[in-house]
Amino acid sequence: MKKLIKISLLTLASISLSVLASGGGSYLPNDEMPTYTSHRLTTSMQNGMQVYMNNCMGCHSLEFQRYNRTAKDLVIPEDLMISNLMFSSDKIGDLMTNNMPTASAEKWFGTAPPDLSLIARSRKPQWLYNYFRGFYQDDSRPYGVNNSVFKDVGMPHALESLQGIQAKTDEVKNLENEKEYALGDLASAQEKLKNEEGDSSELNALISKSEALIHENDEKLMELSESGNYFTLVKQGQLSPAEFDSAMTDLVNFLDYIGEPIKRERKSMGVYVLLFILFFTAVAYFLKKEYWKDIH
Amino acid sequence: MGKMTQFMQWIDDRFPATKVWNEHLAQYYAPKNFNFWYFFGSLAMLMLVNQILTGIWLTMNYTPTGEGAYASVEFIMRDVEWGWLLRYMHGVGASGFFVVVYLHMFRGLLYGSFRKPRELVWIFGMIIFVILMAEGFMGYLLPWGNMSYWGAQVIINLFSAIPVVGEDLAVWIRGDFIISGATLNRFFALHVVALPMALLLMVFLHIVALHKVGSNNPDGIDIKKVKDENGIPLDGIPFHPYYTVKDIVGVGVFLFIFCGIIFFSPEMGGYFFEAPNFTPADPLKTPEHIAPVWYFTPYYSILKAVPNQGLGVVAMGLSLVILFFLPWLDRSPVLSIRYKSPIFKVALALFVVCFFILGYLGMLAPNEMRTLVARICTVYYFAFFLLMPWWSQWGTTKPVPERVTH
Amino acid sequence: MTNDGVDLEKRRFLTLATAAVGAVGAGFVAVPFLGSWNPSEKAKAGGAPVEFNLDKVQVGQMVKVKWRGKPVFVVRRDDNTLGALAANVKELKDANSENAETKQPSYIDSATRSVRPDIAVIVGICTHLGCVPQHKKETEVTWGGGFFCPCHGSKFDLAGRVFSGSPASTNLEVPDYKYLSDSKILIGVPEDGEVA
Repeated sequence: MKKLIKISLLTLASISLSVLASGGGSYLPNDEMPTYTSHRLTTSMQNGMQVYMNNCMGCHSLEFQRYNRTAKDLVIPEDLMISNLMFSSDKIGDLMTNNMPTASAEKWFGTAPPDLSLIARSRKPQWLYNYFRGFYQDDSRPYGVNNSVFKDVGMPHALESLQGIQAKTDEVKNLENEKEYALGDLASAQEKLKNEEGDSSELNALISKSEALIHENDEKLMELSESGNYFTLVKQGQLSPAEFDSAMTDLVNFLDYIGEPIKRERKSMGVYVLLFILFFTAVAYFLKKEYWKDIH
Repeated sequence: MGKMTQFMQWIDDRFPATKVWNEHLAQYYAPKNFNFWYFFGSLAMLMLVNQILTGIWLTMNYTPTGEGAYASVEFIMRDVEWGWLLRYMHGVGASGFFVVVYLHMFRGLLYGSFRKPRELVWIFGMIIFVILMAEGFMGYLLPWGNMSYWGAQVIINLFSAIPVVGEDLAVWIRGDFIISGATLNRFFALHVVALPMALLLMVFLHIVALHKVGSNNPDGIDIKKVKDENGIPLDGIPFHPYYTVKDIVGVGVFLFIFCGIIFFSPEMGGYFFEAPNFTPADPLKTPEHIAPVWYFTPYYSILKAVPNQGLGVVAMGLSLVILFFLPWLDRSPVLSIRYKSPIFKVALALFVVCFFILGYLGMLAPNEMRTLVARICTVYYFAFFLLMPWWSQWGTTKPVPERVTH
Repeated sequence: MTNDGVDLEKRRFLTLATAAVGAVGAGFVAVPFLGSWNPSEKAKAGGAPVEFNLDKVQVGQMVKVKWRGKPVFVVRRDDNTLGALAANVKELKDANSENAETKQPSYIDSATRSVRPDIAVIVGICTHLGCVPQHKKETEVTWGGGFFCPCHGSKFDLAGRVFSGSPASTNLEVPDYKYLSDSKILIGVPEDGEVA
C-alpha cells in the first residue's frame, strides 16, 4: 500500500513538472502589498474607507454592504460616520449605494461603473494594489491615461489629484518597443515557417533570436519594476509616492474588508472551534480505545 | 419489567424498532479489521446531513430568480445572522462530500468491495455518485455568479452536440435560448427537492443492500465462512458500539479539517469558491478562463481531450458509465489489493496518477503539451477498465488467509 | 472478543464524557441555525426608529406612522377628549393599565398614557388577535370615541384603554418614543435613549 502511494506520488510529481512548465498571466509592476494586522489593520481600513468615500463612491457603489455594519466593524462612531462619510444617505442602516443613474452612466462611460462590493474577492488584493498604482500617461487613450495592470481600462485616473501623473520611463518604453517588434518578427517567422516560405534555417535563427530578446527584455522590465524604476512622476500630486502607496494599501484593505466583512471574525472564531473539536476528538479517542480493548 | 422495557415492548409490538436497531447496528457484525479507508462511508453520511440541513436553511433566504439570486446570496453572507457560516458549510460541504465519496469509492477499488456478492451495493453507490454530480452541477448555478452562468452554459451546450435533436434539447433544458431565470428556477427545484429525495432513497437502498450481504474488509475475504457455535462470524464484531465509537473519532478528525477550511480558507485558494463567481452573471461577458469545480475536472479533461465535440461528450459519458460495470470487469481470483498481483498494483497506481493529472489539466487552459498528456491519460483511463477482464487475470496472486489479519 | 476484566466504570464515564462533549458541540452547531431566524440586518434597518413631525396632526385627527412594519397611531387630543378619558374610567377593564401584560413605557403618565397629554402615540394593533383598529371620533359613535376593531368588535378609548365587554383583555401597546423638540418625536427610542 505504501509502495503504491509512493509510486503514484513520484510519477505525479514528475509529470506535473513537465506540464506546469509554462507560467502565465503576469503584469508589471507587481509589487508586494504590506500586510497589517490587528489595530494597525483597523486604522488602515478606516483610512481606506475615507479614500474610497471621497474618490470612488461617486461612481462605484458598495450595494451589498450597510453603513452601520461597516461602522461597527471598522470601529467608527456612528455619528462620525453619518456626518463625515455618508454623502447619499443619512440612515445608518442603509446600504452603501450611490445616486448614479445606470442608464446615463452607460452613456458616459460605455459601461456602467461596476459595484465594488466583491471586487477584492474576484480580483485579488495584490492585483488591486498594483492596479491602483498602475495608471500612467498615454495620450492615445480617451482619458489621457492607460493602466499597466488592466490594459486599456475604460476609466479615468480618479486618484490623479492624490498621486499626480506618472509615465513609463524611457528605458521601459524602449524595452517594450523592442519587445513588440520582436513579437512581430517571431509571429511572421513562425507563419512563414509553417507555410514553407523562405530559408528554414534562417527563419529558425530569427525565431530563436527574437525569443531570446523577448526573454531578455522581460527580465530587464522585471528588474526595473522591482527597483521602482518602471514609472516616473511627471506631475506632482497632493501625496508623495510613499504616502500614495500607503493610501492605496489602506484602500485595498478597506475593499478586502468590504468583500468579506466576516473574515477577521471568522478566523478568530475558528481557533476556538478547532480547539473544541480537538478536545472532543481526544475524549472520543479514549472511548474508542477503551472499547477496542475487547478486540483481539 | 421496568417502565423503559415496557415502553419498548409497546413500540416493538407496533414497529420493529429493536429489530432494526439490532439488525443494522447492535447485531450487525462487521469485520474487525477495518482500517483508515473505512471511515469514509460514515463521513459521507455526515456530509449528506450537513448538506441537507444547511441547504434547507439557505433556501430560507435565497431568491431563485435571475434578478434576485446574486443579491440574495450576498444578503445571506452579510445581513442574515450566521448566514455566512451556513453558506460556507454548504459550499465547502459540497467539496467535502466529493472528497469523502471519492475516497470511499477508491476504497472499493482497493479491496474489491464491488465484487460478487456486492454488485448492487456498488451500482446503488454509482447512482448516488451520478445524482451527486447532478446536485453539484445544478447547485453551482444558484449563486448566479459569472462562473455559475458560463459553467452551466458550457455544460448544457454539450447536449447540443447530439445529432438532430441536440439544439432543441438544449433549448428545452434551459427553457430559453440562453441560460436565464427560467433555467435557474428549474435547477433550483431539482437541486433542493427532486434530487435530494432521489439521493436519500438511493442511500437507503445502498445501506440495505450492504447489510444484506455484509461488509467487505481489507483482506477481501468472507468472514461468514468461519462462525462460532451461535452462528456469529468469529472475525465479526457488532457495529455498535465498536464501529460507532471508532467512527466518532473519524468524525472528529474530519471535522477538524473541515472546520479548518471553513473558518480559515473557505475559498480554498479558488478550488472551492472560484474567483470569477464573485462577479454577477453576465450573458455578454465570459470569464477569461472557464473551469468547472475540481470534482468535475477529470471528466471535463476527457471531454476536452477528444478532438470532436460529439465524441467528446460520448467519451465523458462513457467514462462514468463504464464504472457501473466494474463488478464484471475485474476477473482477478482475489478481491483485495493485498493479495493481488504486482501488475494490478502498478495498473491501479497508474490509474490514480492519470485520474489526478486529468483532474489537474481540467482546471487549466489547454495547450499542445497539456492536450497530449490529457489524451494519453484518457486512453489509459479507458484501457484500464476495458481491458481489465484480461489484465486482471495476469500475474501471480498471493495466497489469501482463512481469517482476517488484524 | 472477550469481555473479561472490562472496567465498566471507566467505560461508562468515557461514554458519558463523549456524549456530554458531543451534546455541547451539538449545541454550538445549533447556534447558527437558530440564530439565522433572528431579524436580518435588513429587517433591523427597516425597524429603525422613525422620526415624526407632529405638525402633520390637526386637533382631533389621527395619523398613521409605519414603525417596524406596524401602524402607530398618533392622535392630537383636545381638552374635551381628555375630559372624556377621565369619565371613561368606570367602563374600562383596566383603567390604570395595571395588567402585567400591558406593554407601555414606564415614563408615560398613567391616566393619559402619554408623555404629553395632548399627543397620544399608540401601536395600532388590537391586543385581541392582531387586527388594525379604526379611529372613531367622539362625534361618529355613541360610546365616546376611540378605536374600534372591526374584526371582533373590541373598543378602546383615545388612550388605547380597552372598554368592558370587548373580547380584547389588555390595553393597546404604547411604544417607546421621545420628544426631539416640541413638534418632533422619535418612535422606537425610550425617553432617555440615545439617538443614533
